[in-house]
Amino acid sequence: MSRKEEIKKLITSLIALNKSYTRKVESAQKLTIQKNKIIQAVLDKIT
Amino acid sequence: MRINAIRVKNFRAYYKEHEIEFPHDPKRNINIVLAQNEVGKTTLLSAVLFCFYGRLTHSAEDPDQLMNIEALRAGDKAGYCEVDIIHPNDLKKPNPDIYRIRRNFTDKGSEKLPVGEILDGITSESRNYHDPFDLINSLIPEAISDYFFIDGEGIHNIVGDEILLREAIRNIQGLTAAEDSKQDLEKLRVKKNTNFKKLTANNSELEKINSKIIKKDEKIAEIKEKKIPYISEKTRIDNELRQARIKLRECNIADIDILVKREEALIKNVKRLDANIDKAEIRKRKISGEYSSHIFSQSFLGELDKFIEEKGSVGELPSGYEEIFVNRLLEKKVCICGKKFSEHSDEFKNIQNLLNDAKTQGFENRMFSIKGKINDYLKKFKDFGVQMHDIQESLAEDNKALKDDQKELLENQEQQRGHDQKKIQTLRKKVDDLEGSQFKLTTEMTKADLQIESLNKEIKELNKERNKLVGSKAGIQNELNEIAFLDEAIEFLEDVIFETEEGGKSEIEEIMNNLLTTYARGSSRFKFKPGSYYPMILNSADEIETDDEDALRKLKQPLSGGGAAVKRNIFFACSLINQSKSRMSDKDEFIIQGTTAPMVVDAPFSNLDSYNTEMIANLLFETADQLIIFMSNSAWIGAVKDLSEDEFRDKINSLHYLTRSFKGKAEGRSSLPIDISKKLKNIDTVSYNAEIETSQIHKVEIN
Repeated sequence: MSRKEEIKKLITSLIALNKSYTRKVESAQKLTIQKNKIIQAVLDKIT
Repeated sequence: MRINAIRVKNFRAYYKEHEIEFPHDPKRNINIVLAQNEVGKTTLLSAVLFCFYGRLTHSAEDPDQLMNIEALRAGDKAGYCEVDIIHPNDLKKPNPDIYRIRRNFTDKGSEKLPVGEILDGITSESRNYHDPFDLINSLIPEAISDYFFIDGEGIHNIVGDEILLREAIRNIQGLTAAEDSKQDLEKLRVKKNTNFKKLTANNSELEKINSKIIKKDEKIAEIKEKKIPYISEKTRIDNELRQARIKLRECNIADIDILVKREEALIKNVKRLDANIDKAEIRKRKISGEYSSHIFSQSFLGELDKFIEEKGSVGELPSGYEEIFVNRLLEKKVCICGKKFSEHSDEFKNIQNLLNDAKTQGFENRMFSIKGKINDYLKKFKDFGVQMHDIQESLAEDNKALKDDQKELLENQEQQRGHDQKKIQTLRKKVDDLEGSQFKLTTEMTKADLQIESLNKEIKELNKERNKLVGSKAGIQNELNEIAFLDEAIEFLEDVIFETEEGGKSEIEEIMNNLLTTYARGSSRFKFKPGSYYPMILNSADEIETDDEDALRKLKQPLSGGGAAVKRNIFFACSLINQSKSRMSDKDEFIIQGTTAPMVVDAPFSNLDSYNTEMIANLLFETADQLIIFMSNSAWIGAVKDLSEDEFRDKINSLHYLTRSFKGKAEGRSSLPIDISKKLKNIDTVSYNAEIETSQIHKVEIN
């Protein structure tokens, strides 16, 4: 997958996660961890 | 997302439990609920809003009265609104799970949050679902709920405020989530830069650039930190402003403005009439003074005139004295000089003749003079009468007008008291204050965004410099690659957000203009004000230049208020949804997915003629992924004509009608029949003398 494709895929996943709404601090923290994991996975892949 | 069922218990017009189902069928997306006015259709839209967001429609009367009165009388003090939905991710599954969301209430009020369960699509087994509130706000945030759950009477709310409109459009287009994603990437970049600094601590040149980058990153983080309270404050203000505007609109501001203007005119009129009446009274007194001698002598003169007429005609004048004196001379046959004369003498005849002449000439001369004077007096008195009559007439007119105006003024003030002026003034002040705060916050946030943008550009340049310095040094190259990738991703996302926003506006304009050309009779054109989200309706001939502020100021916000505007507002909501849908189906390029959701629409046709009813119905049928539409009998006849013949027959998923039973007698209330089809005609939807008073839902088999 090209770099551009990786970027598109990453952004699509991030937007999907950011569309989920949560009032709870705990859930928001979990969501942040999940998002960072997704980004890091892509970074590991491209380097 | 699809709505699968709505259930209510003891909710407003509905006593006990009632259910309406919209079975999931991807090919049939239209669900129709037929109901006459006051039978309970808006309550079902309110039930969805209450379940999801804890509120009713903006136009609902007595919004705090949730409990059905009949239930309260029976001692039942609890109820609920429940909605079954299918998650958008499950729509293609043959047996999707059902998310059941319920909000309970009692006679004391509503529960703060809804509760939820998931029913397995195959086994129907139930398990708890902990965050139905979060689920709903993820699928249809309340900020955009007015575009999908449309209350016909409150449709103008969708464009009430330019800033809120922008937020809603960005939200529907998915840009809010995209901005959040950009921030996630930026946060991670800051972390990576800090790591990189640690790795290159012994290289002074790199150290210098790293420090600069980190400082700029820190500055960005600082600005963002400052923005956080702005964002939450703005959300609070936006919500308060929305509510205040709705409340203000509920006070019928247009009516009160007319009443206040009329009151001002009436007060002015009353003052003018009072002054006129005073002037007339003064004039009355003045002319009474001027003509006082004529008025007082009028009755005597009349009598005198009469006396002269009578006496003159029997020869008793010029005077009794002269007559007696001369007659006695003649009787005694004595001249005035004392000399006697005979009856047949010339002297006697001469005196007799002189007496006759004196009677005739003297009388006539004196009468002429006296009558002249009498006539003069009587004429003056007549003049007085004419003038006085004119004054009295205008006085009577002014007095009548004054009485009418005073009566209207009292009624006007009574009506104004009903409008609660104080409340309106307070609300107006609140809206003004909130708008001021909103503008201030928006300005601050824009300023912060511009600063961040500029800092990001500077970081980009420093990154280039740093890459050159690092070259291909092992170990740290990976770190730099990661940072470069994040930069690329951020830049790509920035471009996509910009293009989506600008392109989205053009697309909305295009769809809106297509709708205006296809459906609206006229030559109107829709446009967002350049550089903003201010919606404008222009005549085809108008050409608005970007800097022509004077021309723009003259244009009223075109989509709010009035009969034609209802149509435009529905066009606008449909344009947004169609634009969002068109982007979802486009798979050739990268797109930010927008929101699509069911449309639940209540009585959008109340101000429309049959042509417009059919047109709006067709538009809604074509726009909505799932449409639940509440319509009156006349709208149904206007929109669908006959179920067996209509082209939308194959798209109709369900058809229900509502009835209402009343405890009391009809008391002059007429029946409210509906005609569903040629076979199902003249169904009366109200009944009287019932044991319980409630609205009810009836299903019609359409196959």
